Amino acid sequence: MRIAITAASVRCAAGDALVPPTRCWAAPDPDALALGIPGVARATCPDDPRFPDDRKGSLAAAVLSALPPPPPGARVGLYLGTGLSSLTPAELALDLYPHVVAGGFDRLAMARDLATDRPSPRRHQPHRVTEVLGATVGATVTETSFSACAAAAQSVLNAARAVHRGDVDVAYAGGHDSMLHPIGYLSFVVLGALSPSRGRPFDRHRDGFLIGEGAAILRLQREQDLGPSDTVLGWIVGGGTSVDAYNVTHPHPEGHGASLAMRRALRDAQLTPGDIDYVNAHGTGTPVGDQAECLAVASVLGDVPVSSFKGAVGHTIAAAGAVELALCLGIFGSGELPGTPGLEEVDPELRAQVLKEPRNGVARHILSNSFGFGGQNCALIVARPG
Amino acid sequence: MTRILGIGVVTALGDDPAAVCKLVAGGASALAASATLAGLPDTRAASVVGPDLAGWLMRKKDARLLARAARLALPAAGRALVGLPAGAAEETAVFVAVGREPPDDADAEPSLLAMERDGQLDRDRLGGRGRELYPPLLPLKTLPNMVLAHVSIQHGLRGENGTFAGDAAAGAQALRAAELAVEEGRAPFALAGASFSGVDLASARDRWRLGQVAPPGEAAVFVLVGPGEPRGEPLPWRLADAEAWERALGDCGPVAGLWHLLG
Repeated sequence: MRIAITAASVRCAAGDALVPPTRCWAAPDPDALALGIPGVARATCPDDPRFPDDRKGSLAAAVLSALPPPPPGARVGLYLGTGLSSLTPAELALDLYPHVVAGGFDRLAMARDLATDRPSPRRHQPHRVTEVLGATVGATVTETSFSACAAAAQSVLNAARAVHRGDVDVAYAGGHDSMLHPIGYLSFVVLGALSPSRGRPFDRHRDGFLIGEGAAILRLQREQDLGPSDTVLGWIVGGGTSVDAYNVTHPHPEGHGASLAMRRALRDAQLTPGDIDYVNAHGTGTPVGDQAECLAVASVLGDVPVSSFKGAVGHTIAAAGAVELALCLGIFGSGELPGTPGLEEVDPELRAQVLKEPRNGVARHILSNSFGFGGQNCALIVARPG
Repeated sequence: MTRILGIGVVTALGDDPAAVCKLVAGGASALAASATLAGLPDTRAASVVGPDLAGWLMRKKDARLLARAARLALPAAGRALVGLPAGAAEETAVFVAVGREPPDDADAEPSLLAMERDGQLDRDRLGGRGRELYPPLLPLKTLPNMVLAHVSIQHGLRGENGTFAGDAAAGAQALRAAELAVEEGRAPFALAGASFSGVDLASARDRWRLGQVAPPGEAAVFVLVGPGEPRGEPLPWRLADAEAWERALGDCGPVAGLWHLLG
């Protein structure tokens, strides 16, 4: 497989540039502070009226609108990974709290409240954003991946395979997510997943992740369909997925599932471990997750440079695989491998070549990992243009 | 080419695919008034009794982590996998379609109530009693890809995978992904299925607000796909007749994309 990335668009806390982030973009948020979380990584993005009370829909619309349209007559697909639509303050105020009676919810009154002007029913349809935006690019194929934090990466892989098979001529593929609202924060706080200090992947004092939001979409085409004006930002040459099948709450301690995904990606790309010059880690900054990933990287790829962007732009949850792949495109041609913003002291227990600071180096092939709660894993391999 | 090696279903008309098919073709319906939907203009739903998870759940304590869709999925997936060769699980792919994410307001009710002040979420209460009362495992229960997670854990499936969201099309996408994984040599076998429950107040109210007036249902259909030539007789009845299935079993979301497999 050799599928051209002919355009890419991203929105995250670091902005919309296709370059690795170099500093932390966390800022205080009152709702997060109420839960003991000092900062979140918020993207700048206007609300889109098509997606009321749905930040992740607005993010997806913004990145898609920044991409060039498909060539005339092309068969188009839109493949998006998305995340959970937790209750928002607006939904609570409009749909639930008006029906509080004597310290409980009046379910009969709730059932009779069938107002049609509420955002909540549409917001809770996970595939709606894909379908609404698919119409704007003339997509005859739409697919919504709901694979937690591996969702966007799986969408990119599915899209690349669809282009490779000839199912579509042009695929727009990526993901979008935002859980930057009170119940979103709370969901991760009760799991102990959010850092009460700051995001610092691979640090000996890491204590959870910085939460972010974002979206990214790549435009994918076959090599033989490229025109003289098309610019290639990189090539998707392979990918692999796996399931931990271990535990709902924890990754396999030795990263068995992650290893399987990376091995399958190498096999799919017909590459050897030595062909990978840099690993864009899932690297959330949780104690267990980082350790398992480092073990897996070392077992599959050996002593390869590894870094994470999540201390800078936060964990963009279901969008992470696409957001970080888009940021990786800036590595090609830069002559530099990115460091890990937020990291101060590399955990000596980690068996991996973690890059704290950027360093000189040329990346021919980058492997990008995405691992989701529930044990779904995806590894993508992208090759430099040329 | 691929063929279906095993099938498992859980529906409000039973768990035997052929019998369910006959019942649907004969005009049977599982729709009945549901107390859960009291107050809605139509309280009918096609609800599954049970399902009995005995034999389908290795660790009983995991039951507290199962949302309704995962409960429906485990027996259906387990029956579909009966013929999976020993030692094949590690490379067996699994693709699952799900619908609207499970509502979290029922389990979270005490916490949500504790956060309220004057009809709004109150920030101080959010960080106080609201946080204390929020069920710590609720996020893991409500994540939509947990259907796939639980099925994989129970059977050790570690192959290629994907969770698709949407209506009937998502069920068909899961099946197609499974066929492709086998045809393209990425997996020797693939489990494909869909699991859905719309029989809860939050989901049903959302449907009414969207103008979707078909009564909700709940069901799971899983098939094991492997290499081989398809076989079977031409179907004597239009098993893909969406309206007939909906009259019999309600709107089952992505499962509707797999009803035709029951023939």
